[in-house]
Amino acid sequence: MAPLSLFSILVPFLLCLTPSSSTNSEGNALHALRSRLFDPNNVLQSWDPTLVNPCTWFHVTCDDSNHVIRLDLGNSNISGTLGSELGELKHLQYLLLYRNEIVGKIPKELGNLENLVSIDLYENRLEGEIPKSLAKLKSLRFLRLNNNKLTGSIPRELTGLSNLKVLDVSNNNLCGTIPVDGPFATFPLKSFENNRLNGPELKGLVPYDFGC
Amino acid sequence: MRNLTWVLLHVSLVFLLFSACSSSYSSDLEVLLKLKSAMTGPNVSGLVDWPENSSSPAAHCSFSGVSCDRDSRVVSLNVSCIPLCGFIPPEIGLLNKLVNLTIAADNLTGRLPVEIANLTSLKVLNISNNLFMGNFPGEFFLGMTELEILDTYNNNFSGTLPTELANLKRIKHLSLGGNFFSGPIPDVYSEIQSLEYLGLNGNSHTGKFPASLDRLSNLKEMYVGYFNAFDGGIPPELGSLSSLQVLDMASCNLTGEIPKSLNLLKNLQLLFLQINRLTGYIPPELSGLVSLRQLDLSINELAGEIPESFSTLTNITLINLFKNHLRGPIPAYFGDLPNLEVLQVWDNNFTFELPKNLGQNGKLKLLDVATNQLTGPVPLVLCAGGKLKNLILMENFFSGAIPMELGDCKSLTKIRIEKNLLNGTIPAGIFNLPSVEVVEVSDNYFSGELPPKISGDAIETLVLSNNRITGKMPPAIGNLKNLRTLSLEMNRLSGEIPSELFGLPNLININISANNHISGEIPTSIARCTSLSSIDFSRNNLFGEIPKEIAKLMLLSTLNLSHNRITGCIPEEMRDMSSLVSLDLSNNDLVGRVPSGFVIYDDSSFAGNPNLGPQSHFSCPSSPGEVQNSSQTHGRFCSPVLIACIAVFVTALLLVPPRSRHSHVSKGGTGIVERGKATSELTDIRRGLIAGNGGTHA
Repeated sequence: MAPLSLFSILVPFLLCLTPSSSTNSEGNALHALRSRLFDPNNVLQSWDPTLVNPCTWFHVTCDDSNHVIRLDLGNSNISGTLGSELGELKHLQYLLLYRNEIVGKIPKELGNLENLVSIDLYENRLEGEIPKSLAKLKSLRFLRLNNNKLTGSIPRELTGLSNLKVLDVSNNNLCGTIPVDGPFATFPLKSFENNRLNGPELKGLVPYDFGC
Repeated sequence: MRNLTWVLLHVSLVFLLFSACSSSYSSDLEVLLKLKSAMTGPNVSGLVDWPENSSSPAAHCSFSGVSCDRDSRVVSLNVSCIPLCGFIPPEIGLLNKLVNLTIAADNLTGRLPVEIANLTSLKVLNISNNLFMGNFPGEFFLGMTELEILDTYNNNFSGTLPTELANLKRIKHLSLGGNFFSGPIPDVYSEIQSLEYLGLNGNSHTGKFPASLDRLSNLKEMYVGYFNAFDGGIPPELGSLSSLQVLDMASCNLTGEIPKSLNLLKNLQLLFLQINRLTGYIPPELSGLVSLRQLDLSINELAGEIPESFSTLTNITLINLFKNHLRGPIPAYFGDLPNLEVLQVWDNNFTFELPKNLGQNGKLKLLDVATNQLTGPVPLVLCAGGKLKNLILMENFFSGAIPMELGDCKSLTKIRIEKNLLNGTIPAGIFNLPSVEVVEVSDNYFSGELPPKISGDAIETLVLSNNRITGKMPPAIGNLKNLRTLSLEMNRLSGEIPSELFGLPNLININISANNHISGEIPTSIARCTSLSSIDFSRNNLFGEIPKEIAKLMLLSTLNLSHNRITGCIPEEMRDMSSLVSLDLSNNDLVGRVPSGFVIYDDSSFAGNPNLGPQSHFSCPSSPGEVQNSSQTHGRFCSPVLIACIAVFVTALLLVPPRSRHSHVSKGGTGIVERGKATSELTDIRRGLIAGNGGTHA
């Protein structure tokens, strides 16, 4: 009886219809991130978007106000791309996505996350340029983008990051010159090796992104 | 305008009949084969048991999904849940004896061909779960006088709802949800008297919800929520829908109050009004909903109390009232409701105690009363039926002990009772439940010891922090093979950290801080626990040295060993821990120098270690496999002579004015690359002075 079977399929399905997004914007952002990622080891299995906030999800850490402050997904065999939704995690301090197979670009929206202390995207397959917007991250201490396929020049604006202690952009495809101001005076050459960089910038003599 | 449409339709039908007669298709067999080739997209194989070389003229009647009448004309075509990715060709109109056309979930695209209007015998048309798009051609359906079921759920149709459907006198099931239809729900739909099922959910409808729909006296189910955004509220007239069994108006921007006239819906089983902006009180009159099984008013702005009159709702299985502004008690009669399975009232202002007999009905499955101001004891009989899965009482003022009975509640999957005033011992059974995944009892006054027998190997999150638990950490904790987060901080544990803990294959976070009396050494077996991302052993009584094996934890991001009595040198190997972003070794008895490469941490990471620092006369061994860099090796020996030499050299350089240094190089002027190289060597040495050594760091 076709109509009856239709009823029996449709009615329970519609009754179970729950909204795919909750009223929590950080949970929605992480859910959007999950839909971009390919997760063969099922490390994101606990990411249930119907929960009131993502604070009980594994690899997510919240502060006392239930805002996401850490995302720990290093070495998790995930691939796929990162998207603008990361810019919704306004309280994020630690973004740890190292040693995966992530492709695509570094979202410029990361520059909106003013509380970021550590960005660890090393050992992935990221491409495109290092976003200038990262220069807005005044609390940034660790910026590790090494071992990717990044191109373009190192944004000169990053010299304004006075709290930056560790920068590693080695093993990419970067060009142009290496800034020398601000924290860049302390970074060893090893942080820049295996790129197409032309050495430190020479101020007033050579255009900054010469050779790019 | 309507007359013109009629004329046009009749004209086009005549044309169709003509074309049907003069078409080159002599039988439904050829039509079906044409259908197969159109509906099967490129690079897709489907309908493989519809062979193209069928010889017998009635061969099509044995194709899968095809039924014929006595004249071998196709009367039913059901091809569903196969990824075909093609489209419906005009030839569909030639199957003019079709009564049932069901082509659901086939990934079909494009628009409905005008020839569909030829299928005037259709009773069932189901094109749900495809990718059809464009305006919905209501005019095609004017001739389908027998149509009883029209299902277009989950496609990409847009534009306004087709008003022509109001002419269908037999239609019972109208499912247009899950598309991109916009505009208001047409008033004229109130004339579809035969309608029993109306699905308009998951579109983009706007405007006031038509009160005239109350004339649909046969309507049994109405789904109009989710992504729609109506102006205004629930029309009180909807109380006249005397046959209604399901009313789903969830998440569609409704405002105003819940009309008390809804109490007239004596057949109503499911009332879903959640995720709206409803205000006012829950009408006590709704106790008249004698058939009600599920009530969901959650995520609104309702105020007032749960009506006393609802004790008559003896059929009710689900009560969702969470995230409102409700107050007053959880009614005592909730413990008497014979069929209650789900009670979720979290994030309100409920006070007083839970009914003592809550759970006595033996059916309670999900209980969530979190974030209220409830007091009193935890009812003893919550798990009387052995079905309780979620026990969520967190953020209230519950007092007394956890009933021992809950330690035998084998159905439990989640226990979240943190932030209350509970005391006594945690029943040992809690740690041995077979299905429990989350155990959170933190921020209470629990005392006593952890049980020696621990076998709950489904536990992933174990949070016992901020209590008064004493005794040792049992070695049996190593049985929790699914454990990811272990929070024991701020208790009164003592004894050593059992090395069994580090055999756990999934452990990500461990925090035993502020127990003050946990002692012993950090075992070298810590290196076995390679999944560890965060370690906090601070504020205890640990002694011995930091094992160099800790450097094998390649995912460790936070390490806090502060406020202990750890001695010895900081292992050089720790320099290679590239994942470490937060390190606190302060307030211990470490000796020697901070290894090279740790300049990234500021002084607070190492403060409070009297014999640790550049002036220390303790010497720590350097590890083998050092980077071969002469100035770094010299730095290790901390030779003041070398520093003096470098200082002299650089001073000499600095005596040369910077400008002339550059111009010196440009005189040589062989090219930019050379210039760059010279300057980088200088910069290396400059960096070497600033860093205190010439080496590199992770």
